[in-house]
Parts: sequence; C-alpha cells; structure tokens
Amino acid sequence: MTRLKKKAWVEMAATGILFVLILIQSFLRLVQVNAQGIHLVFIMLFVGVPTGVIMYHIEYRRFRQCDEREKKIICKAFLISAFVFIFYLILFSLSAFFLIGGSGNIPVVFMPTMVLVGVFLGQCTQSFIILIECAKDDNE
Amino acid sequence: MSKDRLSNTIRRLRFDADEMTQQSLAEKVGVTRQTIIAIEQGRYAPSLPLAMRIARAFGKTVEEVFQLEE
Repeated sequence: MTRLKKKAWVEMAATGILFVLILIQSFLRLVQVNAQGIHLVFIMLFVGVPTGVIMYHIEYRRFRQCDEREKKIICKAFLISAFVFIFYLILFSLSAFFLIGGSGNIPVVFMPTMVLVGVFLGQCTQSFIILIECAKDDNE
Repeated sequence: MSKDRLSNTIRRLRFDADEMTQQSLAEKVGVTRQTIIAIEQGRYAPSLPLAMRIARAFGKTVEEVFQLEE
C-alpha cells in the first residue's frame, strides 16, 4: 500500500472515530451540566479544539514527509473537500432557515452535530479523491 | 492556456545506467516510485529542483533529460 493510500484510509477512519468520540464526550458533558444555548458551543469547542490541534500536528508532520507530487494531490483533494464542506454548510443553513423554519424548529443540539457531519463529509471527499489518484497510478 | 508537454528520456537513461530501477532512482532523488513512474509517462511535470536532481542522478543536464514539446 502506498503512503498516499495509507494516509487516505487512516485519515478517513481517524476522522470517523474522532467524530463519534467528540459527539459522545460532548453529549455526555451536555447531559451532565444540562447545557443550553451558548454553553453548548463552548463545550463543543472545549472538546473539539484540542482534538483539532492534535490532528493538525499529526497531519502537518505527515504532509512534510510527502514528495512534491503527493503534496500536489493532497492540496487538490483538500481544495475540493473544502468546497464540498462550504457547499454543505450553505445547503444546511439554507435548508435550516428557509425550508424547516429556523432556530425555533431545530434543536440547538443538532447544530454542532451537523457541523461535524460536514467535517466528516469533507474528509471523506478528500480521502476519496486521493484514492482515485492512487487508483490512476495503479492502472498505469 | 499553454499546451506544452514535457517529454523525457528517463527510461532510456535508467537502462543505460546499468538498468537502474525506478525504486533506486526514486531513493536517489528523494521521491516515491509512483512519482518517477508518473514523470516517465509524462503525467506529471516535476519542479525545477526535482528535474535538476534527476538530471544530476544520471550525470546529465536538465535539457538532456527533459524536452519541451510544443
């Protein structure tokens, strides 16, 4: 298995696991303190930010080990996944506020969940694009 | 937009250099074997530093290894 392929699979699995872990931890804390409104955002940040920083460091170390072609593929995949993430957020915001009817109809607890779903979706897109590039390499 | 294509003689040069493998060339220039394959097939245009490292690995100039097809 090539370095890129391994990276794609590991990151997709890691993001999936972190996604579940962050949600479980956050929800446990939410239930414990019976949080509402802005507290919910702080708790999600409290759990999410350290995890994000650790992931960034691991990612950056791996990225530096890649050669220039691999870096180009990763950047291309990241760009597309960022577009998917932004598109998802816009779609989510539009559907939330124009179709369903705004904050009154959506429990606030679903907001961070939806953002995390977006992150997971973005990661899946990134991994998928990297795997497509690897498949092209394998075919040649 | 430019439609220039970068061709190269890496494959021939590898065979001339005691049938150097793609892996050993990759290790010499500090990239993966997949990158060498992509460069050989013209699917990837290397950066100038990498092109120079490849040329140096064969003891040639960049122009002897890479040619610009217009």
